[in-house]
Amino acid sequence: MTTDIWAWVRDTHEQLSEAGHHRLAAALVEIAGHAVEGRNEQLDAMYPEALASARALGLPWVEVFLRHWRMQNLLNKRHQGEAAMAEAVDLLEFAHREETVSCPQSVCAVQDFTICHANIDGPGYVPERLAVLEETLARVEPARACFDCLSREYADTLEDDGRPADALAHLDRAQARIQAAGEQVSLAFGHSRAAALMNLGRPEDALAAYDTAERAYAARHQPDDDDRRKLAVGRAVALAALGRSEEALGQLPDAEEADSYPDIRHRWATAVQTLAEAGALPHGELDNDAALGVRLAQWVAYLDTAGSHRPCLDLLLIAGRLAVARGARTVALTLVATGDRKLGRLRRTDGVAERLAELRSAAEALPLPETPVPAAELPEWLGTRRVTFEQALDHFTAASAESAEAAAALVLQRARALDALGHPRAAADLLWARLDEDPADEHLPGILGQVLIDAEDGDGIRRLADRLMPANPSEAHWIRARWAAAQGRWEEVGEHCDGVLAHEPDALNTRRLAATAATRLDDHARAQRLYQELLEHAVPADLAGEDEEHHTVQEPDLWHLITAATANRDWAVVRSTGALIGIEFDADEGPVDEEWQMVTVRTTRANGASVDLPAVRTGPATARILPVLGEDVPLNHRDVVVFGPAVLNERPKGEAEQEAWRPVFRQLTLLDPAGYTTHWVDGAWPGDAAWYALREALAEEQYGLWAYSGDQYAVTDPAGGDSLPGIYAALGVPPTATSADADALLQRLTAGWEHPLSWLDLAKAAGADTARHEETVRRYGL
Amino acid sequence: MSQGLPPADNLRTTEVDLGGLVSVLATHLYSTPLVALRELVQNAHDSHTRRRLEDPESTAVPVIRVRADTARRTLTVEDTGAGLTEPEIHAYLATVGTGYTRMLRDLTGNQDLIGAFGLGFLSAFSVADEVTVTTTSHREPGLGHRYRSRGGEQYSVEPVEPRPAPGTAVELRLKAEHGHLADEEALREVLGRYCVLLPIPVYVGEDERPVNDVLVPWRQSVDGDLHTARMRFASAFGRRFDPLTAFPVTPVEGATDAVGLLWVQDGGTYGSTDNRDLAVYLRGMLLADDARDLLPSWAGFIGGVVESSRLTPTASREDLQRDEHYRALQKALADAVVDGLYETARLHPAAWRRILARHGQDLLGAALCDDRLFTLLADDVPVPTSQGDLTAGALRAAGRGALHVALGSGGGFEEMLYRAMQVPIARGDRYAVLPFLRRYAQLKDCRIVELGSESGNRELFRDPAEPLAAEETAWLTAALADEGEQLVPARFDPPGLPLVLVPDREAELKARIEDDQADARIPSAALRLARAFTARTDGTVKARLYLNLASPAVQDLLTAYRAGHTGSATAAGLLRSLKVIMAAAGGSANGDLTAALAGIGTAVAALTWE
Repeated sequence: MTTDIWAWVRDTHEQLSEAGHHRLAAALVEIAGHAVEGRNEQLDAMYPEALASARALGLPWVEVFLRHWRMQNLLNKRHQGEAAMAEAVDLLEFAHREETVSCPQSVCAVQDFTICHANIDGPGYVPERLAVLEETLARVEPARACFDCLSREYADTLEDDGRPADALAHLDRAQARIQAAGEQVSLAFGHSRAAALMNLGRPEDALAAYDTAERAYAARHQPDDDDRRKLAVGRAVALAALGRSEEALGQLPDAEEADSYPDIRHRWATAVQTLAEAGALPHGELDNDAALGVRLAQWVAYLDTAGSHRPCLDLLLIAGRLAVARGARTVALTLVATGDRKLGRLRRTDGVAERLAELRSAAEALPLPETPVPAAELPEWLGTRRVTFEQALDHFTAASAESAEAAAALVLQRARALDALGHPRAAADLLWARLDEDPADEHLPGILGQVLIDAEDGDGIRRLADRLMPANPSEAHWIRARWAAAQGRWEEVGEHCDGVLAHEPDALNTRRLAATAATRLDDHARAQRLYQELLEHAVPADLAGEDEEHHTVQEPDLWHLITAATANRDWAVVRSTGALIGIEFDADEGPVDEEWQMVTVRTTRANGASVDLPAVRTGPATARILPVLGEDVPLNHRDVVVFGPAVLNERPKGEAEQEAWRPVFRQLTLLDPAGYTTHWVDGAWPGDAAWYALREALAEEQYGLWAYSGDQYAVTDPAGGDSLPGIYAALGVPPTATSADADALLQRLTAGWEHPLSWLDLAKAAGADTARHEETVRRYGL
Repeated sequence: MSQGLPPADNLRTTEVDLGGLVSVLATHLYSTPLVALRELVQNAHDSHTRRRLEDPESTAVPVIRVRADTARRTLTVEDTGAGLTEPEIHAYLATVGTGYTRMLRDLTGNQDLIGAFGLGFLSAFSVADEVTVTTTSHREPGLGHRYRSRGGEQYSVEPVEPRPAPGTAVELRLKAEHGHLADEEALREVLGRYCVLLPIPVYVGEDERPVNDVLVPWRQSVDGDLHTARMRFASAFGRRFDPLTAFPVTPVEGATDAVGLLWVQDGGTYGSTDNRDLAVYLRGMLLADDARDLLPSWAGFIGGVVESSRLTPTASREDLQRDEHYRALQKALADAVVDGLYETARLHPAAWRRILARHGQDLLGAALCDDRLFTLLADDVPVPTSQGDLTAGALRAAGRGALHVALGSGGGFEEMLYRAMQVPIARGDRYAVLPFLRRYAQLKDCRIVELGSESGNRELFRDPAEPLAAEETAWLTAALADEGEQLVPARFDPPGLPLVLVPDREAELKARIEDDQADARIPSAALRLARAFTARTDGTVKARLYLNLASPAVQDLLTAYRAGHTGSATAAGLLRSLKVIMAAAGGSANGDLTAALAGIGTAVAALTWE
């Protein structure tokens, strides 16, 4: 086991390059850097292809290498715990097969596996970690980089066991052995020493340890951003502990940096807590306020999801103490509740359970605000006062404690406030708990459903729908329909809407959603039927109560019906529905084809991008496209499209702007293709008069002409080599004309021009002589 | 002293222990002998600047000429600058660390002066056995001096005929191992790059055209189209690839003074994903030939030249100190690349299309590292899919609003299913595809179906509209599922596929970890811990058999069963055989293929039996 992994990397890189596997070769040398320096995007980009290549080429050592370094990133940079465990175990097994066991990196798979346990519950796994590490350390000698790494891990384990002095002694022994073997310790080794010194209450020595480590490292390497960031945050912790607040603030990375790099978050929060206790936060950009609370809550939620139970608990204790310090009682108790849940996932709770209990007592000791007004009026009362979200939440909590009615009235506000403060799970839990208390509540399922949909909690939605199904199938289907709509699964939206309508045949909103789904699926017949049913089932406007607006026909319903009927060419329905909103048509029957105003139709290019096209509106939901278009847009000149009724741009305020304003509508479907074919013409600008004359003459023959070049387009003047203004335009040939007709017509109409135009592709299509066009291209430098 | 040097009493000693220093210079400080050449050209340039400062009335035309004599193994750098007086020779050629240039710059604040350490001249000894300097100062145009030294430790100065005009010629007699430097063709190439920004013309041999006569588009005013001038510079400068487009680097107020040019290199990134190529100049002289780390690490397709007076070279003068100016420039260059790509997309659509075609894969990765770049590229950059390269938009349209991407981890059944689905599926096992599409889906608010993940499979296998009766499930389980398989009634595309078997990865892992052979391979303490993990999974469900209730075959089977049709058992047997055959085709070793094939025979016999 003396193989040097980096020598192996060099050799393998060379072999892969020689064999033509350049991308895998590049990945082999780059991936470790991306992984340990926290370039997560680049790692994620590179890893899948590299792994697939290694597997396809049957290179198990390369596979171990790639998976190990990615695992390092997941564990050390992204702080995953349970989330990475299956892969850590799988890698452990893979790295000890016959074909991989002699790979020098196999040892590292063992270490990844223990780090994963350290992330989940470091102190809880102390005996197991020590056993694994002792077993592994016996396999490597001090000259190998692994020895450095494993020694640190061993010391970290001792620290997790509350033995920082032993940790420090272990590090010092390891350092002596590494140096005796002629090697240097890593920068990370310095971090481990500093951490042990901090835990021993020796911040001054920790600072010195950072300095020593940095000096030794900088003599041999260029420190990178990752090194700089970690040193800075480590020093900030030590400086804050020494009361050197200004210097600590100088070292403390920006909060946004900690957002991007989970590996510095705990130290960042530790430093901020110490600074807050010393009253040394600078206010403004960094203060112990609700914004800091939200940020820390998000970090806690991240660790919660990643299954890093112990780090999650450690961080939430800091967040909780900061919340107590700013008087945010409910927030602190919400964190305590998360802490209780995490405590249940730990194997060893001594110490941390006491700290959580202390936090709970401190939070409970904070006063709750008096309830100034009845619960139902509280939201409005708070709205008129300058209170933070955290204070509002305390008000809601206090009022809810007074009676079940108040709790029911305020549950939505409490959930919203919790959600806004970075505790979406607590918000959902609150609603679930309310639902348990009051299963018959009419509004709760809908509110909870919306919270779950917003949180994209598919499992939660399934659970809620399954629970509602026996007693309230229409609500269950409705929640599933909305979830499917949020996910864009339109077939399912239709199915679940049908499920609702089977139980509630009069439901209008369900039909609206079902019709939207049908439209998305281009099933305009179903959409039309649904809107027509909606008209039948609606409550007449004059009979509807104040809260019943959604039970009456709304103008958008009529517009949607017109749109669907247009797509179905059901002109009678278009006319009759149009009459309901006061549209007067030129004719009483037949297709609607009128001249309304200029509009803009937004459609999708072949590559998926949006494009806006000028068009003439020819009816309530139709427009005729004006430009002659290239292949990248699946429409062309004089095509008639159906558009959706929603205006996508805002009408301007000023009168002059309104004049020039054109509404933008999204294209729904192509109704009547006009069959134009596009060819391109290119050359020198003939002057306004000649150009407009050409355009009019072409229009008389039903051709289209659309200029694409702007003012800056120039061509070479063959006479002098200077530039001439140019024109690049699309010619739309009608379906009634052949390419030869078009070629002949263009020749006739431009015959007298000083500078000839070129239409090479059209001439080719027409089978005409292309020489003169090629000549024009050459002479004018087209 | 038998090789033509003056007698010993004329010899003076350089004011440091040059023996040690020169060997340090030669073997450590400068990694390439070319650095010595660079230093000498730099001294020649500074000599002209001095002349201009000290003698503003001078009408002498500044010229630097470098000659090589292969036969004699010599290299000469000649200038028409200020020249040196004898005291200056002693003071500046022979004293380390008191470079005249630096003193002059400190005194005058003139930023055109390049030299800094006073080590420049001595670097000549890292490549030459003997150095001869023949010089005439503009202050004493009637006097000539010749400095000579072998090895640099001791030197002599003697009077000679004055040069025809003030100036200096430095002649190096090259060490044998550096003899290849005495090649004018090679010099043209090297100096063309080193001196491209020097305002003084540099000639090689008897050339009439200076090696640095390329128009520098950010320094000189350009007649005609600026873009054309930039492209011309990039073409002249780019070593390995032609440029596809070029765009400027401009100073950023309060951050960096750097100016220059960047370009997108043509040529695939075959061989490496990282072809970053950046040369950094300080006061017109090349400071770092490969400063690729200044460019964002995702910009493997970018080449360029920048100059800045705020960067500090390291002692080796070949790299740059990673200080705040360095980092400010890094950021400015990242912005310049993104700005430049935006401009290209807007103003040079043809070039943009070529860039997308050449560097599509790298751009996918780059987009992930920069939000603005992502916005620019989201709709345009091609993504490799099962149906060729498609943009994300086209992939989405073909997937009816959803992006399908295969993680490539499953093999077997997944391949089968994907082929049957007939929608294009992005290759998630290719560079940057998965994270790119994830971000696209997030930004464009559309669905992404990650085939091969738990959530993706859940998307594929939808719940049935109505749950199946328990008794029917039991019959189907008995008829279709083998041991360890759990029947899951579902609906999925395409309807033609009646069932599909999906192995349970956790159960597979459990089996491998708990296998007796693991004891021999995995260290025992680690294995105990691993088994504690796998003990959490039950492991009895080894695979899930998804039964497609939307499939006519399954619907007919159920109808037949409900009607008590005698053929239902035979039909179920056929489906069971189909399951095993498909799993075997997908590489699964589970299931008895022979029995399955025989089952087909049995079914056909039963159906045709009269």
